[in-house]
Parts: sequence; C-alpha cells; structure tokens
Amino acid sequence: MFRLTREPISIADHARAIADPHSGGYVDFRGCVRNHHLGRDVRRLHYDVYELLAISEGQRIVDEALARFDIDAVSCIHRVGDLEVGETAVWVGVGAAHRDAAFAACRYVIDEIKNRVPIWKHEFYADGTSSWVGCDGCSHAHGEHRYRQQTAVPGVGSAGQTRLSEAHVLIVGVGALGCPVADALVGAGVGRVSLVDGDHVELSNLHRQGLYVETDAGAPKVDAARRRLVERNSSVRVDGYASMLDEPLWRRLIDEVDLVLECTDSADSKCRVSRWCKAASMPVIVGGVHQLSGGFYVSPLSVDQGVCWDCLSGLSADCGQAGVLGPTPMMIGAAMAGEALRRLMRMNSPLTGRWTVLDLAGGHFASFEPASRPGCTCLSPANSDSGGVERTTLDPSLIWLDLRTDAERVREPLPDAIPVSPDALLSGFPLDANQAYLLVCARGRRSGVAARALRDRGLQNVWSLAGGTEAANRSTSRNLPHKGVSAAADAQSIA
Amino acid sequence: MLCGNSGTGWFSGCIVSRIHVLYFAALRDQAGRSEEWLDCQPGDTPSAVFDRLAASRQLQLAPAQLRVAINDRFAEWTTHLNAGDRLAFIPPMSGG
Repeated sequence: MFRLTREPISIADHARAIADPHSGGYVDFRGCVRNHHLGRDVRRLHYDVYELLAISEGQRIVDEALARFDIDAVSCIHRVGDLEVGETAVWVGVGAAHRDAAFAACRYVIDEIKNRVPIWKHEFYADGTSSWVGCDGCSHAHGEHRYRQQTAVPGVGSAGQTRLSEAHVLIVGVGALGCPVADALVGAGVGRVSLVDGDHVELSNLHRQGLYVETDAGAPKVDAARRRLVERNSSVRVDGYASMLDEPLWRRLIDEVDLVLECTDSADSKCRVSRWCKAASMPVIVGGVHQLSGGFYVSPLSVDQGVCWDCLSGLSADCGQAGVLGPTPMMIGAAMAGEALRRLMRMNSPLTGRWTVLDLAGGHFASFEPASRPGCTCLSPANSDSGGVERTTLDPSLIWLDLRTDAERVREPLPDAIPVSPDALLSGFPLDANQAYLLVCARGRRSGVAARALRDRGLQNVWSLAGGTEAANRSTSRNLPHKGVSAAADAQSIA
Repeated sequence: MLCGNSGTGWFSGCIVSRIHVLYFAALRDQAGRSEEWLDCQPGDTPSAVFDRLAASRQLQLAPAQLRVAINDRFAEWTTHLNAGDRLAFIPPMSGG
C-alpha cells in the first residue's frame, strides 16, 4: 500500500502492518531530511505534491513490486508539507520469505518513487535562499551556466541547446556502445532519453560499460543505467524498457522519438532497426565493434535514401563473441554521440550518410559513402520511397483504418474509421485487394510503417495519412504546431 | 477538408470550452499561480497549450523536461483535450 501523510511518520506502526509469519526477512528504507545538499547548508524543506496522481502512481509502483519480486508484503509512506532536518521523509518496508527478494524489491520501490511519483523537494538554505531539487537545469539561467562550455562551441549557442532540450532519443542497447552514448547525451542535456535493453549487468561487462559498478551486478541494465544517468543530469527524463525492442514497442515509440541509436551487439537487431528506421523515415545511427576496431553509420538527411545494416554487412565486423578491448566501443560510442548531438542541433557533419571505421589495430580512420547492396530487400520500392504510400488528406473515397490506441480514439473520435491495432492489421485482418484503404494514426509513422508492410504483401492500394491527425489538425486550424515535428523533416530543411 | 466524410465533425466538445491547468513546484513559481482556466482551441493538445503558455507565462522549462497528466493520469503530449479537462505539466520529480 502507498500513502501520503502530512504528519510525522510512525515507523513502528507501518512495520507492524507488513508483519507476516510467512516472511523470513524484512528490509526497510528510511529517507530523512539531511542538513546539506551539494555543499550547501539545508535548514528545512517543503515537499510539494500532486496528490491524486501521486497516490495512483505510488500504488502502481507497489503493485509492480508485488508482481515482479517474490515477496509477501510491501508498504510505502511519503511525507509531504514542511519538514525539519532529521525527520523521516519516506519509508519503504518489504517482507519476504528470503532476503534477496526483499532487498531487490525495496530498492526498486524507492528508485521508482523518486522517478515517477509527482513530489517535489523545495530546500531552504542557511543563507536565506531556496531551490527546487532536481531542477537545476530547469531554468534558462541555470542551464546557461551548466552548459556554457558546450554552447560556446560555434554553431551550438542557446538555439542548439534548446533543440537538445526538446529532443527525445531512443537508445537500443545499453552495453558497450550504449553506455558512452547515453552518458554523453544525458550530460549534454538532451531532454528525454529512452533506453531499451533486456539484459542484466554482469561483472564481465564492467571493463567496457562505464555506467555500471560492481553492486549493479544482476540488476536490469536499464534500471542501473537510469539510476546513474539521473544522477548525472537530473533535468533529463530517462525512461527504461527492460526488454528487447520488438515491433509492438517500436510502433509505440516511433511517433514520439526524434532519433534512434542502435547500440546492441546483435547484427540481427542492427539490421532490423536500421530497416525499421528507413521505412519510417527516422534518422538513425548504427554502430558495431570487434576487438580493436569498429564503425558506425549515420543515416543521410533523406533517411529513406540510406542503406540498412544488411547492406553494410560486407563492411562491418561480426560483433558476436569475438572479444573487445574496452576503449574501442568507448571511442565508437563517443563518436556516435557526437554525430547524434550535431544531428539534433541541425549542424552539418561530413560523416552524415557515411560509414565511418576506426581501426585501432591498423591505425586507420576512414569514412566513405556506402553503396546499397544489390538485391537487398530494404531497397524495394515500397521501402525506399516513403512518399509513395502517403496521402495528405482524409480522402472520403477510401476506407479509413484507425491505428491509434483506444485512449487516442476516445480523445479524438474518427467515427467513420474502422478501429484496428497495427498488430492486428498485420496479422490476418481481412482486407480486400480491390478496395483502397487509408491508414491513420497521430503522426503518420505507425500508419506509414503498416502501409509499407501491406504493400510488401502485395496490397498496392493502401495509403498512409501523411503526418497523421496532427498534421490534419494543423492544416485546418490556427493551432500551434507541435514542437516534435520529426527531426527528419528538420534535418532535411538544412540540406 | 479535415472532417472528410465524418458527419459529426472533428472538434465537437471543444469549440467553446475551457480547460483547467495546474502548476506545481518550479513551474508554479515561474507561472506565478497554481492554477488557471484557459480557453481551449480546436484540436488542442498539451503540446499546443504549453507552447502558448510558455510564451504568455514565460515558462522556462522545455517540454522534453516535463511530463503531462490529464485528469490525474499520465498522458501523452499529443493527446487531444476535451472541455473541462484538468491538465498538469509535471516538472522533474524529486521525492524520496
């Protein structure tokens, strides 16, 4: 159970509430008001709260802990309002048959609460000043100081920094390449970073994966990485998905993301993700490493003119179990992050559209424009011509298929459209080859991907509403455009 | 033509309407208030509302630093708003 209180927390009462004869161990965490923060003397603090959302989200975290860990009970209470130094701010208690699950669940609950429950700490200092904790980079004044060495670089400036703060980057794989990539992007102030990785931290990772420490061993990589990244820059929103990037998750994310970095050690994943990105006109940077060498590919400004990892495979190393010296992926990852920052800030780069290799064994650095591999399926007309499936109006002569979620449909009904999920559409939904269909989603990416997949299956009269319902709204109202106009479109505008 | 073959119209429920905006923590300090009612425009989303407020209230946080809640549930920036919706922008959280 999760609760909020404005009164002092009585730990003994809450500990009694989770007592259970089945439990062989209890782990509890007590968070207190400390008298210092970043070298400043803290005199007191105030917790602000969005009460209804805090209670529902806190309860969701408690329920997740019960589902994920082999525990008997979990309870959490968070104090809000005015607190003095030394008082208990939060208490988490877990009972389990065995201690490992109790420790893990307790850690999970307190970490998730800090990240997801809308409670804000306002610290008051001995010198009479005060500040909102975790919001150091939130005002332009603080941001200017924090990023001053970065904004001083020609071509960056405050405009570039603002573009970074508005960007959402998807990092697929938080291993040897993903660690330096995530570290650099979060440090640079990219506004939102989503991490996807189904692996757990192992001691054998540590020589090359700098986000992790020994005590992270056994933890899901996305959880350990997120803990460290939020410490690096608390103004960045970091989301973790502890799974592989499958098609349903990809379709969920593509409408929100501005740039993808493929950082796994799997050639299959690189091939799949680079093709998905190409089909969705999503800018992508794909990297790979092998012992003392590695390389990365930056999609061109016209993403659909690029190649996939399969086209590059004759050039790239097999990144399986051949071994790797730690600094190799660190260098490749750092270079990928540099290209990502430039792309997001719309700075030109000579490496755009090129395959760049770094061979530490032979002492070579080279970059060249890769040729498409003849016969590669990523070059089929349906895949290579993104404009080929798009319509810009809600043509009433077509049958509309609404690929949005239930929540999106409730918000903005399309009463004449047939609701169908992208997964259902691609797995046997009955379509008439003689009928013309218009696929509709919010931003046109889910519908574009699905339309191209159906074209590949021989249905030539399937179309996608370009830019989705958002673009349709913009074209008929004075509504301000959403900031997240795809980075692809933005990047093309500088060409 | 946006409404296409839809007879009921696209924006029903949002033509003359207001939404309730809540501010918390650093955003409340920047906005100088904890809540306000705003006229909702056709097709409004949290993203569009924030763009207008960032200018009029001189909000100094970027959307990527914030999360959005509609009617006390986390929501997406692209979700369409209805009359009477309670909209909150959530600054970086610091509980615990």
